Parts: sequence; C-alpha cells; structure tokens
Amino acid sequence: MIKLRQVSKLYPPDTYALHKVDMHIKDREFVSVIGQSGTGKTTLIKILTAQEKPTHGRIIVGGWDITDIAFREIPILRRQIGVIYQDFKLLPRKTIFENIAFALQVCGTSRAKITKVVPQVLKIVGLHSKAERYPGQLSGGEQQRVAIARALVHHPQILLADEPTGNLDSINTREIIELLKKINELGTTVMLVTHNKEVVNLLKKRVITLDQGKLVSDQKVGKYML
Amino acid sequence: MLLTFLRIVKFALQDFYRNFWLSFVTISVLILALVSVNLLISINAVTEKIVSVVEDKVDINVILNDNASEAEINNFTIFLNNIENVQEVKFLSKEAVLEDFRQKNIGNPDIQLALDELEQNPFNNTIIIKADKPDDYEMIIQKIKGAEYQGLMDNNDFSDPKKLISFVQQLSGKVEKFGLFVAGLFSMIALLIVFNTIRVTIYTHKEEIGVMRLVGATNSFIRMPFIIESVLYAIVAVVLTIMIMYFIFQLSAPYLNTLLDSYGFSLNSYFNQNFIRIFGLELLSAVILTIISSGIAIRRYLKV
Ligand SMILES: Nc1ncnc2c1ncn2[C@@H]1O[C@H](COP(=O)(O)OP(=O)(O)OP(=O)(O)O)[C@@H](O)[C@H]1O
Ligand SMILES: [Mg+2]
Repeated sequence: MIKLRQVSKLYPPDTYALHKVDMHIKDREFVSVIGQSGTGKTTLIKILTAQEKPTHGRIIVGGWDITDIAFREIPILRRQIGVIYQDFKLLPRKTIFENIAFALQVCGTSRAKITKVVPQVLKIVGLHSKAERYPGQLSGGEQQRVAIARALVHHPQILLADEPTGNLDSINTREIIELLKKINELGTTVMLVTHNKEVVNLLKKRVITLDQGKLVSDQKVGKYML
Repeated sequence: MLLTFLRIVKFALQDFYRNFWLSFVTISVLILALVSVNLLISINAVTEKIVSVVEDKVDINVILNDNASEAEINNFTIFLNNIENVQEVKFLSKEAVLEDFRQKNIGNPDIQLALDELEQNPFNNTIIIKADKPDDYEMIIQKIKGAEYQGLMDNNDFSDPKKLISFVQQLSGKVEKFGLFVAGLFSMIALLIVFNTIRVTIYTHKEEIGVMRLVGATNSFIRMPFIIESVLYAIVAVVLTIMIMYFIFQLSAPYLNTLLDSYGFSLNSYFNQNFIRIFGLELLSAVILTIISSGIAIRRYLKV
C-alpha cells in the first residue's frame, strides 16, 4: 500500500529529515512509527500527503507513484489518505456535524450524500449523539474522534495519525488506539506516529523506528525500545 | 459543478459579511478611486463642451467708421470673403448692432433706460468674420491689417480669439493632469487595500484553509472564494459609485446649468448617453484589477 525507496528529504542547508529510507507497508497493515523528537516522523507524513516533495527516492501510494505528483492531482491523493494530528484541527465555530460536513462540501459532495455519510462516520467513532455540539464542548478524546470521523469521510485506504494521543490522558489514549484498531480491522491501512511507549507495547503490531532520519529498526511485533 | 460554484459563492459571501468592517473600508476606498475617475471624466466633458462653445462663439469684429461708403464696404467684404479659411463674413448695420445689444441686455433695466435716453446710436456698422478653425484667426488678422482698407476701419487692434481658447484648453489640461494624478493615486491605494484585505482574509481563514487542504479540496475551490470576494468588492463599489455620481450631478446641476444649459449640456445626460461605455469599462477594469491584486495576495499568502 505504501512503498518508499531510498527516500531522502533534505532541508537546506544540511538537515536530512529523512535519509535513504526504505519501507514497504502492505494493505491493511497497522504500523507504528516511533523515534525521538526531530527524527523525521512528521516529515514522513508530509511526504506521503504531498505537503513536501522528497529530495531523492520514490514514493508509491496504493500503486500510484506520487514522487512527481502534479499540483492538481494532490487533492485526489489527499482524498485517499485520511490524516489526523495531535491538535485536532477542528473548526471551533462549526458544530461536530458541520465540521465533518465541511470536509465533504469543499470536495463537491452533494447535500444528499453529506446527510448520509456524516452520521455513518459519527457512528463509527461513537459520537452520533453529540453531532450538534461544538468542539469546545467535547473532551480531548472526543475531539480526536471527531477528527478521525472527518478523516474517514472519503473512505480512505490509508489513515495517517501524527501523534494523535499527544494531548490526551491515558484513558482517552486507549480509546483512540482502540478506535484506530477497529478502523484498521474494517480494512484501512493505519500508520501511527507516536511517542507513547505504553501505546506501542499495548498494540503488539509492527513497529518502525527512525533515528535522525534513518530507519534503524523494523520489527514485526515491536516493543518500544528507545 | 454548479453545486461547487454555489458553495464557492456562499463561502465568499460569508467572508464578505464576517469581515464586515474590512469589506466596508475596502469598498469605500474603491469608491473613492472610482469617483475620482468619474470626476475626471466629468471635468473633461465639461471643458470639452466649453471649448467647443467658445470656439463657436469667437469671431473678429471689424468696426467701420461712418464715412465708409456702401461701395467701399462692398469691396471690403469681397476682399474679406476671399481670404483663405474665412468661413463667414457678415455685415451688421449700426441699427442692427444696437438692437442686438438691446436684446442681449434685455434683463438689465438700467442699460435699457440709458439706451432710451441716447439721442443717437453709439454703435458703428460692423463686419463680423468667422474663421474655419480657431488657429486661422491670427493669419486672417494679419491679412486685414495689411489690407488697403485701413481708412474704413475704426479699430486696429483685433484680439486673437485663439488666445482665449488656448487659455481654456491650458486650464483644463492642468485640471486634467491633476485629476489624473489623484485618480491614479487613489486607484493605487485601492488596489493595495484590496491586496491587504485579501491577505487579512486569508490569514483569518488559516484554519479553514488548512482543513480544506487536509481533506483534499481542490486548489481552485480553496482559492476561488477569495477571488469572488474581490470581484464582489468591485461590483458593489461600481454600483455605489454610479449612485453617488448621479447624486453629485444632481447637486452640481444648478451651477452647470447657468453655464451650459442653453447649449443643451448636462452631466446627467452626458453620463446617460455614455453609460455603458463609462461604467461598463469601469466595472470591467475594476474587476480585472481587483482580481489581479487579490491573485497576487493569494499567490503570496495562500500556500496550497
Ligand atoms: N520546514 C522545515 N525547514 C527546515 N527544517 C525542517 C522543516 N521541518 C522539519 N525540519 C527539520 O527536520 C527534522 C525532522 O523534523 P520532523 O518534524 O519530521 O520531526 P519529528 O520526528 O516529527 O519530531 P517530533 O517528534 O518532535 O514531532 C528536524 O530536525 C526539523 O528541525
Ligand atoms: Mg512531528
């Protein structure tokens, strides 16, 4: 599903955020990416969503070589990849329903389809009863679930999560991780970037470790080792 | 496609209302620029009319003395008619001149009274000469001065009507230059304001733009609302400017009427006749320029 071949990202003058990274993530896999601060985890996400171009190497997402993706094709890519972040990136003046509907509106989805899809994804994350609330009226964990629901509206093949639990306590963290596992079981490839040792050990899934831009370990059932 | 377009317009309208004061200031400055352009056009129209009226009115008056015989006057007239570029030569008897003077001052009882008390006609027989063009007068005056008919004439210093015309033209040229400068300045300021407004709007919509990008909105969908917004500014500004201009015409009409009404001129009708040409062109250029200036802002501040 995701293939990186000798991918490097150089931030001039001399910071290699990624350095000759090879990686192959199969369809429906659940992979955690760990590593210390500043080792290129976010850069990896940015390259996969075409926010940044790699300096060297090739990137293939779902069989599509996006290394030299055309400007106007970027939105098509982003509809196939859901992304969530540590700060949930919800719009505070819109209700939960509106936040999710917005993601569909701006992509030209019809009103009928919006009223069908939004409750569906809200049901997946278990928040359909709070659709009319505003983000400020939800807990951090709930807000992240809204962000996940929004990431799912286009039925993406891949879900990228950049430290989704960074702002959450351990109970909420567990809930989010359970949700990500559930989404993965429903057929979506998940890449989880995390700092959280507990999370990694709990997951018992594949773990990729980055260190100063290099891929230093790739374990089938990983443990947090740093 | 239509759905997308409607949503873009809706977003643009939301921006418009949400930043009401910003929109208000932007439109005001645009109006200022447009009004100054239109005032420039008005001044141009008025001076053009004045020049043409003056051109129409100017002539050379040759005042004849009383001992000129009819035959001599006839010869002189023929001579004048033969000068190049003379359009018309008209003989006015002293009675006709008096009557003319009476008519011109019909509203002035003092003059009428004075004329009534006169025992003899204070005027002389006069020949009025019109040239084809204002530029021709100087040459004609030279010819008259060099002619053998000096004995018939009472006056010897003819004022060149061209001087009056070129004075009016020079004055209007200066006013026009100043107006052009002001209009240009305001237009520049207006474009900078539009640029800044779009910049600020982009800034206040950072979050929304970020989300749009995140979820895969197309670039045009992200950018279009800002373009539409600036087009909206231009349209609203032009419409309000039209209203303001007609209000100004209403206010200025009494003053202009005393000057030019008898020549069938009013700014109101001038703008009515040229409505599409003036305001259509202004709308077009306002839209194009605001699109350009917001486009630059988008290019600089909206990374997709
Ligand atoms: N836009 C940029 N310009 C220059 N250098 C950058 C830029 N973005 C990231 N870097 C550098 O690239 C390196 C990798 O950054 P990245 O954000 O990928 O780290 P990270 O692994 O996500 O860290 P963290 O765990 O703290 O989020 C860092 O050294 C960072 O300083
Ligand atoms: Mg990071």
